[in-house]
Amino acid sequence: MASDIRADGEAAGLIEGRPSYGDLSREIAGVSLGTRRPRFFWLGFAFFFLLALLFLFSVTWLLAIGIGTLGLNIPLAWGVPITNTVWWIGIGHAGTLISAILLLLRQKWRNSINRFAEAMTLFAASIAGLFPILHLGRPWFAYWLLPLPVTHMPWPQWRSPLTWDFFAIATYLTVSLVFWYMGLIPDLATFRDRAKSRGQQIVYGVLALGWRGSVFHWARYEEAYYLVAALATPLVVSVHSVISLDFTVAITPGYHSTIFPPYFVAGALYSGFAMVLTIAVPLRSAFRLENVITEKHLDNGAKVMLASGAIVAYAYVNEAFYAWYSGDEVHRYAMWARAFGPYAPTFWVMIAANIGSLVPLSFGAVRRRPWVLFAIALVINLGMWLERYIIVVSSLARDYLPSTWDTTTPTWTDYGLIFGSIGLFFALMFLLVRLLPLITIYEVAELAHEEEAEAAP
Amino acid sequence: MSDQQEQHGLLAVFDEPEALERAVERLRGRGFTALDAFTPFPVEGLAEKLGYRRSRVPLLVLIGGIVGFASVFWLEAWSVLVNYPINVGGRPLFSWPAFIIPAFEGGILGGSLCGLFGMLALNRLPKLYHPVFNAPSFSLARDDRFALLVMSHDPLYDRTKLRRLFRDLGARAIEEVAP
Amino acid sequence: MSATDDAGPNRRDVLKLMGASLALAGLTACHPARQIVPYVRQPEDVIPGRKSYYATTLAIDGFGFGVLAESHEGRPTKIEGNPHHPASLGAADAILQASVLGLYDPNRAQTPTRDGVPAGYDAFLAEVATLRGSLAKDWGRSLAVLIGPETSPTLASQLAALRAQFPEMQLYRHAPLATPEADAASQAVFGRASSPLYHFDRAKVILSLDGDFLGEGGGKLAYARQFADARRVTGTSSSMSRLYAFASTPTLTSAKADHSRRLRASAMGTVLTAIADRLDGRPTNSDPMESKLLDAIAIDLRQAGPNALVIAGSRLDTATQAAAHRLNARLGAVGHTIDLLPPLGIASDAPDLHALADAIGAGKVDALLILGHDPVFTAPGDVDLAAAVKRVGFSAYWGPYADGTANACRWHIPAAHALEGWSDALGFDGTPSIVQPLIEPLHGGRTMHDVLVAFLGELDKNGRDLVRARWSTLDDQSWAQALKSGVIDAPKPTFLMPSVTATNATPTSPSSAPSLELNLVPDLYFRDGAFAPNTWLAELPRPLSRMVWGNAVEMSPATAKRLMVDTGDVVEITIGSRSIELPVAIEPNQADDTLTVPLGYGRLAGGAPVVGTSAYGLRKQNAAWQLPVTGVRKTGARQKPITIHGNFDTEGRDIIRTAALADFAKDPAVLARNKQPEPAPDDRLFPAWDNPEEAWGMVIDTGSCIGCMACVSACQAENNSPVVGPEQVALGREMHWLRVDRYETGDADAPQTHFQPVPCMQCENAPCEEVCPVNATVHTHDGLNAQVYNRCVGTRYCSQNCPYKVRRFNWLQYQDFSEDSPLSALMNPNVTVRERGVMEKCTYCVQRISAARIDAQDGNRPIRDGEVVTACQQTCPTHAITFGNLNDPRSAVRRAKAEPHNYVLLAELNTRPRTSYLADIRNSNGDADG
Repeated sequence: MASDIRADGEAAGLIEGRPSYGDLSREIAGVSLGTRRPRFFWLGFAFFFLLALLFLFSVTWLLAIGIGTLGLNIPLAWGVPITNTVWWIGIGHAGTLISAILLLLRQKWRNSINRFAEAMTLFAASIAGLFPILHLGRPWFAYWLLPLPVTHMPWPQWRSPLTWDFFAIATYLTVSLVFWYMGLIPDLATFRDRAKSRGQQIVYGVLALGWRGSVFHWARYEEAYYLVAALATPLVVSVHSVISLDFTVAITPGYHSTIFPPYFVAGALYSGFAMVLTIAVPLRSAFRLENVITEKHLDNGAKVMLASGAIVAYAYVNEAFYAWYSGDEVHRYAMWARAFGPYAPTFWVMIAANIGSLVPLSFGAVRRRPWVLFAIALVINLGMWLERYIIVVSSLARDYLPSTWDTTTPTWTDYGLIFGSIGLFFALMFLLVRLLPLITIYEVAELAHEEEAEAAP
Repeated sequence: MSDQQEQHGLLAVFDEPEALERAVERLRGRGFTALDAFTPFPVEGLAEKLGYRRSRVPLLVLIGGIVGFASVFWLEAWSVLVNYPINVGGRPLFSWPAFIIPAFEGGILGGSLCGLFGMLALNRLPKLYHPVFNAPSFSLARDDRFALLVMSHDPLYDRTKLRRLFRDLGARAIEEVAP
Repeated sequence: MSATDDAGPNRRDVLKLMGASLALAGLTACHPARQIVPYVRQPEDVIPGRKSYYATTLAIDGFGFGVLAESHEGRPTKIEGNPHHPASLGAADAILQASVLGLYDPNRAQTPTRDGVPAGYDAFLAEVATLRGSLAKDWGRSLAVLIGPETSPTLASQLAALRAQFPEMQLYRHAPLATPEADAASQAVFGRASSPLYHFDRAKVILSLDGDFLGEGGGKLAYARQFADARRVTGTSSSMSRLYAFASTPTLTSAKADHSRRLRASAMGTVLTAIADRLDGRPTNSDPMESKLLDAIAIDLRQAGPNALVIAGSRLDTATQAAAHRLNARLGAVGHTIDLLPPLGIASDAPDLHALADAIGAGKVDALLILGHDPVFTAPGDVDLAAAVKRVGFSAYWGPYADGTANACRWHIPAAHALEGWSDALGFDGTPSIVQPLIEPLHGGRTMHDVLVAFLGELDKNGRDLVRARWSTLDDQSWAQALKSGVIDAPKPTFLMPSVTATNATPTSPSSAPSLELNLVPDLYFRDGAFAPNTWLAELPRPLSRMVWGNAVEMSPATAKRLMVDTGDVVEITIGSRSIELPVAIEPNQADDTLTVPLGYGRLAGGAPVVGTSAYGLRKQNAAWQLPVTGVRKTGARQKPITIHGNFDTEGRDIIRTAALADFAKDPAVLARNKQPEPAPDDRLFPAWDNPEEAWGMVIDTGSCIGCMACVSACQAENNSPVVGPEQVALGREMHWLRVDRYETGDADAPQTHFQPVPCMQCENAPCEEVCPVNATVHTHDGLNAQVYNRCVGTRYCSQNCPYKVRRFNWLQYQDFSEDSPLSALMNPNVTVRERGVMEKCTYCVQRISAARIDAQDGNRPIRDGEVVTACQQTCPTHAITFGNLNDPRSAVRRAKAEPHNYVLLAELNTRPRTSYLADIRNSNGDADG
């Protein structure tokens, strides 16, 4: 798939209208440095900021009253927080994929979306990292998962997938930050030299670390950048695999399945690219970046969704098949209950959203209609959240001893955490758009240069 | 001789990366060694033309990765075997397959950090002051400024000749850079 | 247990000292043991940190149960059964276990009140003194005393003394759970009222018609022991007694029956007729059910002869109970498997509430003394006692709570808890035993004897003097012995040797049975409502309905369908002119056309939560049990009954193993039907850890378990488990470490119920430990699956990975940590009180193991088999739980695990549980089922 995208990329043009380099960088940087912002920007920011405040409130309530304010019980001791973790981490992964893997695959079309994709990764991963801590019974002791040589506790229990999680997510956050900042350095230098006010000059100047675009620096820079990308690639796969091990390692029927690691990674891409489109479509039309984020980008994103979504759909079938094939009555019943048990409605909505969306996505005409894609992306975001919820909850609702079977429903605090975290995420995205180049100037410029060179006979 | 005290070098700014490349080739051909070029985006092959050889960044990343992996794995083994051995779920103390995962993450972390900081170190960054920043025509603000710097300590350094040369090469701006 | 031996005289010194220190602690402010005052003089038998036991007696429905009260530095914290007492035999039921909570209950009345205003006890005494003056004039004609179901000999002698002073005084008795039909029946058959005493150790064939001898009555613990002993299966060659049960509402007894049938109460008589006909070879006119079964029963009964036992529920109609008596007499069982005792209750023939109300109405009562039992609450619907009492000039109520009666009366004297004062009581077999205090009254409560002392004008006498005087026949040594052993060595009441009259009279089953009949039954734990304020009992699942924090009207699925209602629909049940509203609960084993409502709910008692709805108002006269339903109306409101573990279906999984004794004897493998492949003991992926010292293990006999929930209550008391309240339970957050699951095999027409207690399995390959990220649950050197509370961060992953779901989580701050928490003195000092956000679970009572280990190490010897007794094991009436060291080849637990019907739950998961089960073997009669 990679190669044909590249072919398309060269054929259809990933930057339209052949603007001069100067125009390009002015256009991009203008989004951030330009002083006037359209009203809808502030309205949107205000809306999401309010949601972010809801998050703050829910978290405060949660910490004050206790985890009991969430819709949890025995046997359903995990619920919305874990669902959110998996969902947000998945969203983050798309960012890393775009910025790292596509970089390694020399997918030029990535250039104009990778910066905000990386930012997306950072914010999503940070939010995802919050939930495992919030969902502890005693969050104030979360640091006990750190390998600290302190006397009141022994070391972490290295066999526990949660310990693995802790290391995976922490590493993922750090590496994403490193990768993101590395990519940012040259553009910060550009900002430094464009900045009018002294203050901006100082801030961007310090952040740019005195980058002066020396050819020698560029050489080492690119080596390092590609190496980190090369490291981030197995990392992103490992992180979501580790997350899936939380379930796979447990003997709970509906958790205990070897398909999970690949299934979760595919799911991560599916929901992640859905989120990329959810952001990219409004962004390009809002800031008139149609000639930077072209329909080609949207099309390619949709194609990734199509592919990963197909894998997810396969995983659903595979899961059910192996439940039957295992011959284990408990596992079989858990799968049956997933589709026809207490959480059946949720399950079928999830199926409709995740598998149903594949049908329109498989039509090129649809893939090239931004706002249709946007709608589909929203549906997939919902569907993938439900998928994680179904996995976490429905499996627990019907496990080994029928006497212990129970169900639970989310409380308002749960919803506060869900929508609040979404608000926090987008509020951060708004701030990012305001403060940093949301598209890699130097890479787009390089791309434009190359395309011109190729266009010239 | 005297030039070296009062100036850092001579800077020529071109509009096109190709022009810059031509200039570099010309000067290298004439035996100039103390050259540096500044571009708004990486121009492939230009560094090699300026006499750049593979850096030690990959080596640093490799070392970082190995150290990260080994230290985490050692911590795991030591903590369960020596420091706090205890029966957990009837599993063996040294459950190495489980230990690999945190160790792997440790390796990735070590490698990436060495990647960033190794690159900065080898580039002698951060370095907030550099003489070229004094040159008014030097700027990364626009991405159509491709600058070539001949440093004054180059044995062949001769202001007047260079100016002529740069003008022939079609430089948009030529100026002397104060130290 | 050791400390009981040196109980006795110098225990009183302890009491004085504790009294002093507790008094200093400002008891009236309801802060027991708020500050610990050091002993002025260290009593030799109190070692700080070492618990001691004192023998005393607790009463349920007036019947005495001998108990050992565990005391930590003078704080009673736990109740165990008294092995020397015939009614307890070392066991205790859920109510007894929960009674310590009753002691520290912050909702108890704290001070005497006069017209609702706090007043000194002295004021009461003064008022009584003047009252005595006026009463003396007319020989106490205007004095009325209302007592409940009591057996205390001391009370009897006090009442006699009172009668001596006021010859004309009126004595009334109100026993809401009384069973006049039983008396009438024995009157009819044996010529005099009597209460039966069963011998299940002799009974080979038992036929029970709504007779719940395992769940109710003063003899339930003893009967359960006899019953279980007669049915214990060891090896493949065992003999068991056989139990046939007909139940209108499923009971513990019908649940344990080898053959059980659903049958409405009004039809029970027809069964007896049919069987009597068969025994007499008379042609049977109409069989209420499969003749095959009735034939089998008749044949079994005839073969058993004197070893047969027919038990008719004491709440059935007189004719049916009489028929049962006659059947017993005819089989020769009377005097063998059943003996007859004279009624044990005091003044059981005294007039009841109606008479009292009439007397008040007629203005015959100027002074009224009510001794407990909240008659205003338990009064039948057509007696407005509260109004009547208000008309009486002087009324005094002695009771523990500021309840309806207290509000109606002028004076309310807070009652002392049984652990706070002196008294005595008779066991079900007439065995007298002494109630002795372990602690000074926390809230200055008085015993009923103290109150009567005031009316008798003998203010110089304290409780101990009274009881001692009552038992003056004992010399000091046997008195001390009685205090120590908890049983008074007095001549038992002699059995009646009745001459059976009118043998051939057959019961006439009510021909016009109502289309829908309502069974009122006493709640298993609240009884008449006396224990309704006890939150442990409110949150203890009823063994069959699984309901907590409320009652409901139970009905069979068919009846629900006919009435077009479903679980959770609130219906209005009308009996004549009275009606109540209750949610519907569907009970598969309920007889059709029978509604069942438990009594004892809806009681107002001080600040205690009002649980459920009272059904006393439906009664026309006292002790009416079966009522014809006028109408059932769906109100449209919904209120789902709160249940714990309400799924009775095994889904065909290998959870409960059961078989008929005959089949099992032939081939034990019959148990292992539909089981998953299990790993062999030695096929392990990695070497097993060995336990160098002990390897603790447990075996639970599901055949012996009668599902009485005593173990759950005992576990709660031993391990400081909190009460979480109805909302939290409804969310599925109950905190019991031990649960007793109910499973149903067999179809609705021939139901077979199984109980399965599920504590932590203490897996050797514990799945919970492997996934804990902070080493908060790990294995100990002696093979326990330990939970380290202060290391737990609350990821709850352990519970996720526990296939038995035995872990409990502190979702909120369930325990009151404040130093002035009224329950702080109740806590077992050897068990951590858990904080919010911490996981907890059964630990095989690790604190008891440690205590035993310390003793053993003191004696430089290994821990003896049976030295460690877990709380659940100790309280179990049927010895269904065996616990011990698996490394000891001679230990009881090793023998139990060697039994052919030993199995582990979910063995296919290779968790290697240390807790295993013995299959539920039933002595089914092959000829009974078609």
